[in-house]
Amino acid sequence: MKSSPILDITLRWLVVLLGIVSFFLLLRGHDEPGGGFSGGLLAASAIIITTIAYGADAGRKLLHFQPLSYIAVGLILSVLAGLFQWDAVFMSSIWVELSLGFTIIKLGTPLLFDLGVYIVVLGVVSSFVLEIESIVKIKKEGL
Amino acid sequence: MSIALLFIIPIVLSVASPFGFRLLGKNWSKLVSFFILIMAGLVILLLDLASIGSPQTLSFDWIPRLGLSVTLRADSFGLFMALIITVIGAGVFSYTSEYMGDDPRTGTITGWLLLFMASMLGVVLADNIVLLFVSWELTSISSYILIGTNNHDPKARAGAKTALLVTSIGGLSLLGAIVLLGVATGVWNLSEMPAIHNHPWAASIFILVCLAAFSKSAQWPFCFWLPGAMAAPTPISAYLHSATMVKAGVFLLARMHPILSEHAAWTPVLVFFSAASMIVVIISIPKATDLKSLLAHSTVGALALMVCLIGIGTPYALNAMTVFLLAHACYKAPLFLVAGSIDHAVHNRDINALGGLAKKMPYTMLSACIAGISMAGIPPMLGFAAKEMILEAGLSYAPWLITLITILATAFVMVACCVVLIPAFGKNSCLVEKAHESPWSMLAPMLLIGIIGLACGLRLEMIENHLVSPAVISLGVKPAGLGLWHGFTLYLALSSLAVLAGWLAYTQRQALYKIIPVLPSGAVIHEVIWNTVLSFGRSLTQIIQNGSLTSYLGTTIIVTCALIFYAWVQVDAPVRPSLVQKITLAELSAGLLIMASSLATAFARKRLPAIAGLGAMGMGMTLFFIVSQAPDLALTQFLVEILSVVLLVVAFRHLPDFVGEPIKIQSGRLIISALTGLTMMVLTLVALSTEYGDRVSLWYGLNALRQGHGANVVNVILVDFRALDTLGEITVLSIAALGVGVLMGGLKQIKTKKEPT
Repeated sequence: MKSSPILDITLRWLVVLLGIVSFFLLLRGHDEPGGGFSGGLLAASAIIITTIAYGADAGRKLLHFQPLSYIAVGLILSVLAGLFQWDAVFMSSIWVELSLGFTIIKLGTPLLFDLGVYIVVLGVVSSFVLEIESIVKIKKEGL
Repeated sequence: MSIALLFIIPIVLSVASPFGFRLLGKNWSKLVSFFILIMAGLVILLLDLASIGSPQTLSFDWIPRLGLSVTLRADSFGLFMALIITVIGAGVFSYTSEYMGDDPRTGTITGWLLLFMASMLGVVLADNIVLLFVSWELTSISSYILIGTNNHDPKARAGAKTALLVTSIGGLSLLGAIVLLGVATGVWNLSEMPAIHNHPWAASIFILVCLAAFSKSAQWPFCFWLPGAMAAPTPISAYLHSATMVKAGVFLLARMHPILSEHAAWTPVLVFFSAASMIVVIISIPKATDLKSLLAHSTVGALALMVCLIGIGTPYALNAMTVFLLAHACYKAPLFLVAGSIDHAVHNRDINALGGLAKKMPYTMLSACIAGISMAGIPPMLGFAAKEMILEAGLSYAPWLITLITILATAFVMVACCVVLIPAFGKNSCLVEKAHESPWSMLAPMLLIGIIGLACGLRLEMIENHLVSPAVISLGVKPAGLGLWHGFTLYLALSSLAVLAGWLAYTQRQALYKIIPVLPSGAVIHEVIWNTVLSFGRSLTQIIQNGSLTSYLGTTIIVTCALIFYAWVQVDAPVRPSLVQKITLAELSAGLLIMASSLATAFARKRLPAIAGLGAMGMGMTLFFIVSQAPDLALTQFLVEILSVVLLVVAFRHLPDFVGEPIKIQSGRLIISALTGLTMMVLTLVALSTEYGDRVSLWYGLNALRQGHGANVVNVILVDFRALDTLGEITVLSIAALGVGVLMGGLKQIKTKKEPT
């Protein structure tokens, strides 16, 4: 695929931006619109854009690990988040508030759970686009 | 606590097995063998406790809500079986270490064998019948996996499949039997169960128990799976398919004897089916040329004798059964191990090709002789004492036909025994050059187990006092005296007659081949049933899953609409226009957008505009969410719509367009579409006309911040209040991703296969 300098530079910034915003969505999700699902979708769109522009290999490289590993890690994180409170019902939440002076950070097992959702969604959508893209590539070469 | 050790040791070793094998190589199995010997010692200690009338029990809650508990009870009969399981197990593990050598699968095979051992101990020591059933099924599953060890061999796979299918028929029957038993008596522990032969369900319970026992112990008409199971490596055949697992059916019948034996059908049914199995054995033994399948057929015969003795059901017959069970384990396991050693040395098990191995493999053949003499029932072996007792029990029961068949069966077991000894003493064959003696860790088990059989025969009063009598007493029967020498009685005469007849049949076996009729074997019938089921399934699949996406969609939509309409008519929910709110301008424009874009999608002549139309429809939905003040839903919907449009474009951009085809309106599809629209309209109107209590949303609104520490109620519901649902959803997503991967992988294979041609 021919690379255009405009697409190249735009994409470089766009991917970083999408990553940051998606993480921002994840973190603020508990109090304002956002959350793991929409954050994961946004993060996956970075992979999709790269894949469409430069092909499946570039997408894979950006992802660094196999999409299936993302899915596995995300699922494990989500399940672990439910196991924190050993003597209570599965998925009982724990919250800790960290005071940093200028702001207060709320940390809780639901956040870990949401992080798991984020990673699963990222892995699932990336695997969709990478699989489809690679089959298209094979088809083009085959025909 | 020691009874728990009998389960903890094998399960822990089983889990450690793959790692242990990687660490220690073939010495791992020897180490396991050592541990199993310790377990055998434990069993002997427990036997001592049980014989003075205080069997150890262990009980803890399993699923208290269902009233299920794990109850183990080490009574003498169970321990008698456990002793056989552990002693022969120790031998088999030692044997496996050299037999499998450095085969990388040894670790997992040892693991499965250990798991099998634990479940078999569960079968014999369980007091709770549910636990008995679970252990029973575990033995079936481990047997399936062990038979299929050589999974690249289609014969091994077929044998494993047949064994699993047949034994699972028995497993299901056993489940039915225990449920009926438990409900009928109200007791779930075997030791407290009363005799129920007068209960109206007794007949059905008896039939189910018989199905379970006959399929597990390979009795007619299920006897065909055992020879097929011989595809397993020999140590597995020796352990599962001769010494232990196949005896589970006999064990079950013995356990049921106090509960059901007074039923009128008990004796006739058991005796009839065991006689049928013996006839099958008589027919098949002269034809078998494979050493292992020959042994398998004779195992069926031995099991049939045991079932027959339980069927006769007199105290003497049960005594005979117990002694024979011990004798059989002591001679059949070594014979299998001998067959395995021969196979290991010369890679051939065909009796027509073997001969003269006694010089090269003296100790192997010595153990073959010890075991063979016991099998043939020649004094002073335990086999002889057992056979005397069987004949006496059979004659006291006295239908002459049964006696005749029993004698014939013993005679043919004698034939099998002679044939087994061909490899040792027959004519020298070309294979002798290749033969070599097996290492000691293989020799020791077969020699020692055989010698145990000899020692038992010589010290009869010892095993009578410590093993057989307590075992028989715990079956609720008076012990009968054992004796090697009864004097010159009718039984001795019959026994000698059987030996003579067997010898004669052996020498004249060529002639016998011709006389014996060819009967359709159970395996053929099984094959026919299996193929019929498969082809029925195939034709059903062709109707239901015809591969046309259109018909799937049509069916799904029509059924959904019909169900919704049916529900609507049933609950009689009226549409109340007064409750439906006025449409605002924003809602109207979103609705118009959705309608316009759906029409555009339906009438699009190219893929790209169709996809764009779909996307626009989704945007309309997003607008709706924004209007209804649901920013979270709108955000997610927005992202999902964009991504699905992108994914569809990626997938479809390389497909040929359907240009040029004029849009035809197909009336059938139009009707389906109209029906769908109508249904959704009705559903929406009904939903809007219903007055809901707003307590749920109120509760979430109030408690999101208080309990969920979050101001975004939707998110708090998703990740906290209803987190389990979300976990389910992301699991479904992951499965979808796996499915896409598999589908695409399949497509890739098709493409790459096509390329070279």
